[in-house]
Amino acid sequence: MMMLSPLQLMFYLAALLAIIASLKVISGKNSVHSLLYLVVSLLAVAVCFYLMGAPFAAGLEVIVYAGAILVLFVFAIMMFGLGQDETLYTPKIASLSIWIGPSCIAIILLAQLVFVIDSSELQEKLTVNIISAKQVGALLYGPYLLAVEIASFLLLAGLIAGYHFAKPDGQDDHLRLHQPSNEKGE
Amino acid sequence: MTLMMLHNLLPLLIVAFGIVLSLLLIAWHRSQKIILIFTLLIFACALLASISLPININESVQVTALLKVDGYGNFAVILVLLASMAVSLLSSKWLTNSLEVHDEYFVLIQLVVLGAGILVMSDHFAALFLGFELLSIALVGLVGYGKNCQFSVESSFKYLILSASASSFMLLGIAFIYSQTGSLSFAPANIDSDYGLFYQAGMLLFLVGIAFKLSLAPFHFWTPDVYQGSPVPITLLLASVSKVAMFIVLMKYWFSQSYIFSEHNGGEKMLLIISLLAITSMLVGNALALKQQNIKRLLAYSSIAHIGYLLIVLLIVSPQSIELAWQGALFYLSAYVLATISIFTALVLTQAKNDSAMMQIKDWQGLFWQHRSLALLIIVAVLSLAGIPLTMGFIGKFYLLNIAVQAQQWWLIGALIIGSGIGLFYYLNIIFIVFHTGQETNSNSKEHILPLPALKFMQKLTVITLIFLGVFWGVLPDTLSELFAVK
Repeated sequence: MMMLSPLQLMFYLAALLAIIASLKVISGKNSVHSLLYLVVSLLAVAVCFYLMGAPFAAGLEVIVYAGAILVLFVFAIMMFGLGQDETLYTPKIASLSIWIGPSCIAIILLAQLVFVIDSSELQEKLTVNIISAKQVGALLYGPYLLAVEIASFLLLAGLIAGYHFAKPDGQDDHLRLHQPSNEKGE
Repeated sequence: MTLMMLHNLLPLLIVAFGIVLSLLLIAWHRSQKIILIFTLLIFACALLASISLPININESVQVTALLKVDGYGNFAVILVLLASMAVSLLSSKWLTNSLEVHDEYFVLIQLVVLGAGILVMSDHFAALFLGFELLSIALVGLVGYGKNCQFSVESSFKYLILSASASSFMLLGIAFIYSQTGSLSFAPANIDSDYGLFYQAGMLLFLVGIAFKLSLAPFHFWTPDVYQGSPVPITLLLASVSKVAMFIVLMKYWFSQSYIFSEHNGGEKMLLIISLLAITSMLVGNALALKQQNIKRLLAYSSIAHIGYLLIVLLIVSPQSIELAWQGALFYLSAYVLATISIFTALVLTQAKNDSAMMQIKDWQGLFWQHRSLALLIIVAVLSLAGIPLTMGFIGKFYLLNIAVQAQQWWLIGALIIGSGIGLFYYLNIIFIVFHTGQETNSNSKEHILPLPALKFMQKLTVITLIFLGVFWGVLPDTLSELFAVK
């Protein structure tokens, strides 16, 4: 069996944590627990990116996913999750058990990160070829300009479809109230 | 970006510009008629642009690393645009049933067309994935568009979740391929090197993603439900535009991997997997269609079988037959799209009830004695789908048989013949019902024969044009096939 270098060992450990956390996301019964594990899973992926020498991608992962999108998730769950079927599985008392799992994984990740940053030997390896934000930007606005444009249309499609589904049903009735003669079918 | 690149990309640029203009138009004045005419105008402009592209069928222009415009892709764009014009026209009848102004509906159709256009021109996994997602997301919005209709939420969620899982499989596959080749472009940098197991696993996962969208046999379970639950014009969009775009991109990727002709990298295994997919799709699709009474479910199962037949073109064994494979596939797809458009036009025009999910075949009972032209349209389309001589479908099947014989794929030929034989049963059943007067049946069949309103002039014109095209290209296929023959 081949020996893993310390960097590889760190990478596989973080990847393992990401897998464990993701499994907990889909196996949990309580949506808030799953959400906590999802945050941790994204953080573990960010550490993976960092250990591969892509600090920019790691930063984006934390800011965009763990930061912005997860906040949206929390909002959504807090607004919708008040029904009987959601609260059925919530623990009776807010005990340690809610956050002990995610925080353990998070602490291991933090320890990893501190260890890597502290070790000058590993730092040397990591900083050999860093892809900077400027390079990414130059690629996005150079050869891959069309991809950016297509992605903007993709977002537009998602926006319009989402708007259509979220549109209140009452709009139809409102119109019908004013023009009852136009009613066909239904 | 040079001027020539922009010129070659013009059809897509027109559609993209049209989407932005439609948004402005909606902000200015909300009217269903105006947005419909505007959408048709945009598609017509794009159609003109793609017809007038000075490009030979076998040459290609690379537009950045992402897209490659070639004659085959351009023909597919023309097909996609024609099908979506038909969809827009048919939608106008469906949408008048409700009171709201449905302008986002047309914007979503334009987004679907843009996604399909990007797919058929892509030469890079990034473009492929973005086009794939654009197509799927816009279609999810359209599939569940009639929020009050039965099954609409169910079918749209089925489609959303399954297409999301399909695209995650595909992404994993792309990641595996990238990890071995180091390039996201379709054409691998180094063909002869041995990429190993990860590359094959990547190819397999990628195929799974595409097979989901093409609804090939083990991945077909969503198709009937989604077809049934979505509005009729959107079912047409799913059956024509989405299938054409996915199949063309699969062909583009497949033929750029010249390793399938060599001993390296398990090309044989890939060919085996494709032929297994094809055989199961042909048999399963046709067998499940046998007992269907609902028209949309029947068409869903028959589309599974048709894509199964079409997979034969991927199984060529020498690079010399790539051109023949492209011609066969494009002809078959044109025949399939024309027949599907015809049958859905008939479906929309005969739809007396508001609830499109419940259209039964027996609702067409005795249609021939009421509406000769509509019945003729159905008959021509059904015969073409069944592959009876003197129709386009027959010529398409002939191409496929020719390719399969050249590649010596006897198992596939057997499955094609058996599948077509099974298919005849339910296709001919439709024709019998269209002629059936229903005298000997009991009295409750009376309610099915509602007097349909007479066709308007434009509707009649469309019906007659479709019948004419179906017969014309069936009798004189050369007029179509020389469009994409190598000069």
